[in-house]
This record gives sequence, C-alpha cells and structure tokens, in this order.
Amino acid sequence: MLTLTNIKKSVSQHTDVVLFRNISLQLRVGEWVSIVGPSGAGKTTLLNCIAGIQGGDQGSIELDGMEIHQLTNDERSNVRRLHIGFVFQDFKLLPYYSVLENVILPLARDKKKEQLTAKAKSLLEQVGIGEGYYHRLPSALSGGEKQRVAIARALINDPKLIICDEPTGNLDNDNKGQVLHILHTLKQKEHAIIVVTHDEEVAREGDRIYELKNHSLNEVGVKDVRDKLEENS
Amino acid sequence: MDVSIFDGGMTVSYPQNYNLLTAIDPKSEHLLTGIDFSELFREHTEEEKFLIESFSEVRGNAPIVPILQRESFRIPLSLHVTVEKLDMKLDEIYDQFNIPENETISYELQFREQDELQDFSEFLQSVKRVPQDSYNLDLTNLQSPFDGTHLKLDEDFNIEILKEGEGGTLYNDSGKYYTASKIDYIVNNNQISVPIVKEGSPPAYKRVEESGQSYLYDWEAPFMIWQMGTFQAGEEENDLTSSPLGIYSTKEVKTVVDGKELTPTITPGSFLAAPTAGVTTMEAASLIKGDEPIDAIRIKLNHITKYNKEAQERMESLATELSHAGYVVDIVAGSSFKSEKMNVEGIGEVVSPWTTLGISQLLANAWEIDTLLSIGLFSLFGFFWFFGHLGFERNRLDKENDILLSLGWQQRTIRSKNMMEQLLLVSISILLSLGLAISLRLSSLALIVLGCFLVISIILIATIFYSNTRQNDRSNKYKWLASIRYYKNLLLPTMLALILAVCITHLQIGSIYELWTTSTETTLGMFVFDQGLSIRILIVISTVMLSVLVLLEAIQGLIYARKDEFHMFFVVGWTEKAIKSFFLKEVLIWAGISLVIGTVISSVISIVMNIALTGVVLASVTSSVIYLIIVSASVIFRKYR
Ligand SMILES: Nc1ncnc2c1ncn2[C@@H]1O[C@H](COP(=O)(O)OP(=O)(O)OP(=O)(O)O)[C@@H](O)[C@H]1O
Ligand SMILES: [Mg+2]
Repeated sequence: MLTLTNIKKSVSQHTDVVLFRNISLQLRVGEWVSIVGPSGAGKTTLLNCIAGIQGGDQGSIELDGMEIHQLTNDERSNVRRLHIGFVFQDFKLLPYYSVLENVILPLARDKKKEQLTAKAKSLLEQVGIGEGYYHRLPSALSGGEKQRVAIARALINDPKLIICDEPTGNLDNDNKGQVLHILHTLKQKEHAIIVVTHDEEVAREGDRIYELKNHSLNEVGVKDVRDKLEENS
Repeated sequence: MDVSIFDGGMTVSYPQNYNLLTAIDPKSEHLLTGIDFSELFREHTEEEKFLIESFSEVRGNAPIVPILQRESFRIPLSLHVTVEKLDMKLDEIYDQFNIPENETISYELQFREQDELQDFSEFLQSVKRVPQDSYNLDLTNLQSPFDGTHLKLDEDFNIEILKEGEGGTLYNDSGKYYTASKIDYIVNNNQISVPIVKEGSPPAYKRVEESGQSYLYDWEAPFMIWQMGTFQAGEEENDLTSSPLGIYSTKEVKTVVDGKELTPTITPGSFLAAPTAGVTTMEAASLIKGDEPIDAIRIKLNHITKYNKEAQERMESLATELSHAGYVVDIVAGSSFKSEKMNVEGIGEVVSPWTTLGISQLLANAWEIDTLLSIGLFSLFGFFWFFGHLGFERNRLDKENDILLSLGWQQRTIRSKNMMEQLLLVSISILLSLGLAISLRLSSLALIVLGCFLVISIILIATIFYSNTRQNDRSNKYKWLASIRYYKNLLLPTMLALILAVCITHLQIGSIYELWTTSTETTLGMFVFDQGLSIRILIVISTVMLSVLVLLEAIQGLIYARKDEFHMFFVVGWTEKAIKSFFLKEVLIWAGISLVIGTVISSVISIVMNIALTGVVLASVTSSVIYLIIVSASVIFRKYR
C-alpha cells in the first residue's frame, strides 16, 4: 500500500545537513508501524515527506500506486485530503471552530455539510465524544478530548493511511489508553497506520518497530524498544 | 478704403483701428505687477532726436506722447484680393483716348479734364473682366498697435515688409483719439444686459467722444505719438492676470454668441472687454484727456489675510464710503474672469468674460480644505506611528507587567502606570496639535475634526491596553464571523488603520474634485487649482502609499500570527487556492466593514464641508476600490504553505 524506496532528505541549516538516506519501508493494509528515534533525527520530516508536505531529495514514495513526488502541489493536497489522516501531538484544532466544524474541516469544501455532519457525529461517537461537546470550542476541551476530536477529524475522509506524530505526547495515562484503543480498532478496520512516538507502550502496539537514528531507519525487536528509548532520552 | 492708381501700382490704407491706451503710474504699477516699464523713460537716440525735431517743425511743435507697446499684441486683419484681367488690348486705350505712343497712360491722364477722366473710368468699367485668381492674405502678425508697417505686395502677391522711409511717411502717427464711457450694464434678476448707446454698424455700447486730428488731414495735431519700445505682461504667470483691473489679461478674451466666437471688433464703442494695447505716462495722459486724466485708482485694503465675512464687510464699508463721496466703485477681488451670459442689445445672448468676486469664497474654502488635509495627513502619520508604538508597547508591557505582578504589584497599579505613560504621550501630541491649529488660525470645523482624531486615539489606547490578550473564556462558538470575532483584538487595529486610510483618501479625492469643479469656473480659480494640483496629487499618492505600507504590515502580522493555522489547512489537504479563498473571504468581510464605516464617516464630513454629491460619490467609489484592491492583492499574492 505504501512503499518507500531509498529515500534521502537533507535540510539546509547553514550548510546542507543530511537527515536520512537510503530509507526503505513497506506498509500493508491493516498494518501498524511504529517509529522511534532521538529528538531531531528527522521523524516528523519523514512523515512530512510521506504525506507530500515536504519533498524528498531522492528515492520514491508510492501510495496506492501513486508516485507522491511526481504529483503537482495541488494533486498532493488532494491525496492528503482524500487518502491520508493526520494526528498531531498538539492536536492542531482551529480555535474558533466548534468540535463538529473541526472534524468536517478537511472535506468542508468537497461535500455537503449535512452529509459530513452526519459522518462526523458517528466518528465522534466512535472516539467517545458525546453530543454535548459538538458545539464547544476546542479551548473548552481537555487534552484527551482534543486528541480524540483530532482523530475523528483524521478519519473524516476514510483514509487508507493514518499518520500519527506523537499522538499521546501531551496526554495522561488514561487518555493515552483511550487513544491507543481507538487506533487499535482502526487498525482492525484495515487502515494502515504509522505512529511516531517516544512512548514504549505506544511503540509496542506496532506490528513492526523501526528506529530512525544516525540517518537511517532500522527495524528493532520488541524487547529492545525500552533500551532504545532509554538510550535516546 | 482709399485706392489710387499710379503707374499700375495701387495703394491700400489699413482700415482704421482702435486700441486701448492706458496711462499708468509706472512706479506703483511696476511694484504691483512686476512688469518693467522703464523703457517709457529712456533717452531718445540721436536718430530719434533728429526725426522728432523735424516732425515737430511741420506739426506745430506738438508735444510727444511716449508709448510702450504691448508685446505680441496683434490686430486681427486680413486682406482679400481678387485679381481680374481686363479683356482688351492696351492699344485700344491709346487709340480711344488719343494718348501719344511714347507716353504712359497715367502721365497723360494727369492733363485731362474731369469729364474725360469720367469717360475713361466708365470705359474701364465697361470692359469685360476675366477672373484670374484670388488671394487671402493674413496680415494679423504684421500689424501692431500705435505703429505702422508699410507692406508691399509683389507681382506674385508675396508680402514684403518695407523699412522706414521706403514706403511712405509716418501716416500712422495719428493724433486722433477717442474717449469712451463705461458700459452701462443693467443687472436685472441676475441677468446682465448691455444696451446700445448709439445706433450704427456696429452699434456703440459706450458713449464715445472723438477728439484730435489725424496728420493725414491736418498737420496741426494736439500731440505726436512716439514708440518707446515694448513691455511684456507676464505670460509665464499662466492664466492669471497680473493686475486687478485685468488690463494686461494675456488670456485671449473670448466672447461667444450662439456658439460662434466673436473677434473683438476694433471699434471704440464695442461692448467687448479689450486689454490694453499700450501704456503711457500720466503726464502724456493729461495732454489727451486734459486736467482730469485719472479714471481709476486702485485701493488695497491692508491686513486682509483671508477672504472671509470680516474681509467682505470691510471691503463693502469702504466701498460705500467712497461711493457716498461721489466715486464709482468696483470691487475686484483677485481679478478673476468668469464666463457670464449677458444680453447684448442688437446681438443677442452673449457669453463674455466677467470679473468676479466669487473666487474669494472659493479661495477661503480651498484654504480651509487644505488645512484640513494637512492636519489629516499629519494625524495619519501620527497614528501610524502610534499604532506601531502601541503594539510594541503592549508586548513589552505584558512582559514587564508579569515581572511586576510576580513582585507583588497590584494589577490596578500596573494598569494605571501604563495608562499614565500613554496619556502623557497623548497630552504632548494634543498640545502640539493645538499649537499648530492656533498658529494656522483654524476654523471651528477644523478644530472639531482635530478633536475627533484625538478622541479616536484615546479610544485606541483604551482598547489596546484594556483588552484582554488571554483570549475568550467562551466555550461555545460564535455563530457568525467566528474567526473574525475570535481574532478581534488582532483585527481591530488593522481595521482602524483601514478606516482611517479610507477617510483621508476619500476626503482628499473629494476636495480635489470640489476644487476642480468650482475653480474651473474662473480664471484665477484655474490658476490656483493648477498651481496646487501637483502638490495635491502628491499628497494623495503619499497618503495612499503610507496607508498601503501600514496595511501590508498589519496583514503580514495577521498572517504571521496565524501561520500554524494555515499550515494545518495545508496538512489536512486543502489546496493553496482553497486556503487563499478561505482567508480572502474572511479578509473581505472585515475589510468591507471597515470600508463602509470609513466611507460613511468621510461622506458625512464631506457633506458637512459642502462638497457636491457627485464628488462624495466619486471619492467613495475611488477610495473603496483602491483599498479593496490593495487588501485583496496583499492576500492573493502570497504563499500559504
Ligand atoms: N525546514 C527545515 N529547515 C531546516 N531544518 C529543518 C527543517 N525542518 C526540520 N529541520 C531540522 O531537521 C531536524 C529534524 O527535524 P524533525 O522535526 O524531523 O525531528 P524529529 O525527529 O521529529 O524530532 P522530535 O522528536 O523532537 O519531534 C531538526 O534538527 C530540525 O531542526
Ligand atoms: Mg517530531
């Protein structure tokens, strides 16, 4: 479903610095891949490359037969909007839109509002956000609630691929558990999931775990995860 | 027309022409107009002395009237010549009138009796004529007043100017002159009519007295005209007449009847206003007009700095006093020509130049508007500085206040400390503006406008300092204009800047339009307008540029503050176009609100300032369109990724 072949990416800080090179990865439908690695290794950048937010320097990224980096800007946007769901550590909800409006936001210009609202309501129900919250502003939600709303937003387009960048980074254990539960259910519903995390428990949920370190991506065994994470912190 | 045949040559005298000669007091006239009249007093050259002496002898020692001719003053004149050939042989005349073969016809005719000459003339009349050619010769540029030029047409009808002595004697130095009364304008229900004083062709509209005698008929003339040179009545001063009496008006006086322009007919009784063709001295004038040569004196009222009611009252009271003393008084403010319809007997409705006092009011208004504009502009500068300053202050103070707060200061104490600092700044600017207003002697209206600006600035301080930066405790979303209301603290200063920019631009455009329409009614008005136009346009452009800078800065800040938001839109897959149109829609709403408010405020001010409705509409449309384009462009031409 998602195939990365020999990705190389450098960023310019004073001089060009290579973040990673020769990165290859395969992700199938219904599979969950966790990525760990020290801060600044380039995990977020890698996710951005996959989603076509940033361009890669070399290599190919193929999503469902589409070569992401050969598309135009607008086509990449369309791929993100129609096929990818994003979940961030800091939720990234619009502060002046209600919960419902935030959920339907990605497709707000594509589909009818009633249709989207109905879908949003069912998604919110799935992630455990009740009707009483629909018209609240994000500022009136707790962190866990915000993240669940953000997950509902990521699902509004029935994405094939869900990309999570430290989805539990700002959550306490209870909320983390809820989010993990939701993601787990999604995996069973045949969504492919990539999760970048610093959290051992979250990482262990993955079918495979990779570490991005020293410019390259390597698979690590489930039992090594704790050591790796401790090394990095 | 005097015509004579002489050896096949023919002499044609110019038709009589009449030119206005004005006696002046050269010194005060020079001071008033800046025109150089010194040639009037120059020494005669040796050659002139000789000529004057020889003429004086034969002309009964007539005294000299020195004349300075108006440079480039031309007498409109054309000559139409039709050439016909007599269809006969010259021999026929020789035969029929018994002229010896070796004599010329003209020589022989000198000795014939009157009835023989009559026969000769009748014979010529009876000969068949064959039309050959006709010529239209423009002599306008070859003739100047009080001066004669002898012209010769050669066989090909080319004009040749003859030098002094080549053509004939100084026939032109006429001792004949006319004195004319003023026109008896009848003003009735705002309709001016001009009655005929003496029937004729053309009729006379002034009582004209003919005096003196031409040397053509009498050597005993009362005086002898002598050309001293020319003077130039400042054409470089554009269209403004340099003298309040309008006698030097360089602008061609155009009089229009039924759409057809009248050329000033050169008769002394004409109703047309004619500028002076030459000047002479008072002494010379007394030779012509006798012991009372002065027709008009100018009176200048001191200490009038502004054409207002007070000035008008002073002028009127002096005028009344003088007319009670038996003088005829004209009030000529600014010697401004205005086109006026008048009913001229025997001709009909005529549009003719008319000096007017109306310009004074216009000048006063223009001055008022100018002052308002400058104050507006200065306030604008002040505000833009103030905006930047307040935003910066607010940031700085927030940090400082946090420290003070943690040190145990009370919120109230901190706030009043902040306010005191800002109020001190505002007080200083109020005092400065007040000083400026007083030194410019502003009207109460200007002071009101100034006051409004100051009130706005105090409201600004209050809103910026008392607004809570920690946003919104609301839990439910605004139903309408959610993002705008959410960011209102950020938007408010931008909106105020936009409102202000619209107001200033609107008022400037309105006043330019107003000045343009009213000032083009009179010559002085046009002059004033032309003089000020470039400055006005410069002011408008600089205002717009200044506002653009501030607006761009504000919008830039707005986008910067919402960078994460736009990035989020991008990440969830909105195309750049979609983000742009989303943001543009939002910007158009608050910008539209600001434009409407700004337009309403400035329209009200314009109407209070008596600007015509067309001007208000024009200004509203232009200023709104300008800022709409600027704001939209600043949103559209930008990256949102
Ligand atoms: N646009 C950019 N220009 C220059 N440097 C960049 C850019 N984006 C990221 N970087 C740098 O690239 C490196 C990797 O950044 P990235 O955000 O991918 O790290 P990360 O692995 O996600 O870290 P963390 O775990 O802290 O989120 C960092 O050193 C960052 O400063
Ligand atoms: Mg990261």
